[in-house]
Amino acid sequence: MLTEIRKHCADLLTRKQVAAVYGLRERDGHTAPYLFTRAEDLDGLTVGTKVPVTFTLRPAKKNIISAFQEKCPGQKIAVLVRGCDERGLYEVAKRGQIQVADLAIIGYACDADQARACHCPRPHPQNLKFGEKVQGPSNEAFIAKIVNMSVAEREAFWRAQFSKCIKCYGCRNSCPVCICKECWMENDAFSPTGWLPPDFPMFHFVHFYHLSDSCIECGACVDACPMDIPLNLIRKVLSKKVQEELFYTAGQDPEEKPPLASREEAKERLEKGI
Amino acid sequence: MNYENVLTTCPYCGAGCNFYLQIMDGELVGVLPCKDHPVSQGKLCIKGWTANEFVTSPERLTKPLIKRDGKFVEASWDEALDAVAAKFKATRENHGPDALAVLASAKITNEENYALMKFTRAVLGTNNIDHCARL
Repeated sequence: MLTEIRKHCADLLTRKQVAAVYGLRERDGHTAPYLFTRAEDLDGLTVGTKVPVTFTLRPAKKNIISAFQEKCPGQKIAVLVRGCDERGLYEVAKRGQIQVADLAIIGYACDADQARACHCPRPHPQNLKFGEKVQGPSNEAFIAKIVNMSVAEREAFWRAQFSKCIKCYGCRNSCPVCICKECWMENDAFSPTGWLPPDFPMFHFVHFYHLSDSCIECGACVDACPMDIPLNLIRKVLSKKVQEELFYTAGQDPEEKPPLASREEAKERLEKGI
Repeated sequence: MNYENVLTTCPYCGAGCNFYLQIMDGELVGVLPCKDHPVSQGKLCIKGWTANEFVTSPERLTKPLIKRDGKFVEASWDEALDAVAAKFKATRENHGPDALAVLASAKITNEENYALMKFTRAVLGTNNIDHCARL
């Protein structure tokens, strides 16, 4: 698959169909995002790792692709994406930071092992060009342990988990859809500066609720957590709730409006669903 | 346009976490964790996550300052190092080497800390060397 992807990207660059290819580069045994502007550099291009290509630049608080588009407005950029990368892009596009029309989205599928490791609901992008589509694993068993708990047990479970928090902001910083200019997690009302562990439950819960209709279940937050708090568990329960009650799945269509963005939107969805 | 990630070691403590510094058109625009690094495994603390911010901070000291008549005055590196050396010498001559102590740093490498230990014992002539966390 890698050879074909490199060839395809080289063609795009040499035929000047795109100004750059944004993807992952392997260098000295480590993989990181890279903007390829010369076809001869594509030898370093790699795929199939857990490294995301969509994330928010901090302190600028803008998506990396939106930063590219600000630097080169109107220029076509090819982006190599997995399912989660594409969903993240779409969510940011819905909020006006990315112009999807200026992107050439080139998708590749993750294999069943990767999908299982990430508990990924959709391990393939809609713009699938390379690789075979596999079914995402069912996460019912994964979330059952929480869903089947009593409210008191659940509270005790999360209280214990969040007491480990060192307030690194890794969950927020690694999130591809956390793009707010003013972040509630930095608000002293929810958790005073210099206080550890942060107040339970507001510090974390304000984050969860804020992302309830934009979380694309990529798992970047749980991967970034130095204290191994199972953040993906609560996210999956919340996403399921949004799907069941608002008939909405984040990251599917960049034209779709997020249901929590306006009351009308939520009402419309409810009526449609009923 | 240019965008790349440069792998580096976090400057804040001795744990040795690695992360990428994100460079866009020659400008440092952020930190990105390195998922496949054996020490940090894609995880960082709040200091690592914000390690890019001090580089261009206007509050950063860029020149040595020497206190003269109760006020800090900009000085050259030669002047600053001469001032430190003169004070070390004067203190050692007047009060003996044990009047001096060195607090090492968690922000520097093992090798630099070793050199500091050698400097303290072999040059200053005292065993008063300790870690900065004991301050």
